[in-house]
Amino acid sequence: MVNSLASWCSLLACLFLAAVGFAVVVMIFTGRIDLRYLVSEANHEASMSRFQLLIFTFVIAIALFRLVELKNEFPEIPNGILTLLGISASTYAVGKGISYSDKEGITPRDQPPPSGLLGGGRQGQGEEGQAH
Amino acid sequence: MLIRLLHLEALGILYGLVAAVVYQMFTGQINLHGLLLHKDGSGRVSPERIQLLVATIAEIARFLGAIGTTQNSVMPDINTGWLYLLGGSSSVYVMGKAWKTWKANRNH
Repeated sequence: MVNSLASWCSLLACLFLAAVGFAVVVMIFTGRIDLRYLVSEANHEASMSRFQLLIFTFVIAIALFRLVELKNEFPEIPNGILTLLGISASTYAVGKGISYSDKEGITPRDQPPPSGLLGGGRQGQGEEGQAH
Repeated sequence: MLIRLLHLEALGILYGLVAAVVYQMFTGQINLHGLLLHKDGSGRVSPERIQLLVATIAEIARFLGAIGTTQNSVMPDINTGWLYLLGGSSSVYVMGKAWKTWKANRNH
């Protein structure tokens, strides 16, 4: 009885997590979660340190997932990886501090519509819901 | 069955998230304007940003290569030389940024 209940609860938690994760990914794809300024500073210009932190986070998450797949247990994280993420996060934090020490660093500048690596851009949307 | 479901779920969420962010970067929905430029509005390319990008790409390539060839399922460590390189690169970037901000504040 208890085992059966535990199994059902595990399945329910698993499905709930799947639903939340799926909803987040779909909302990002459809633009309902606005990531326009995910790697931008307060003045809406892209920041190299944020970009670097994002890439490192994704790469290490994928690496960790692959190793868990191979070994079926959570691997030990080496100090080098922690130092790497520390350097990247510190660069981001210091860069943010420097930006906020100058008025120009927090004043959005007039600039062309956001353009990506292929030159496209999201048109006709307001400034609400920015990711900072 | 539950473990298989969890595995597929984690796979879907992680790669879905990565795909969403990369797709939005390529289509311009995530703003990358000025990523490699000076922030003084001059439109000049910033060398410290270029070197930070190159160091980042080099480190990622090396790390992914190590992950791809790992046999014993141990997370590959990053040696001290690479950490010095990345730390130095980040320091150059931050100091360049601080110097330009300080100069701009002094001129106002």
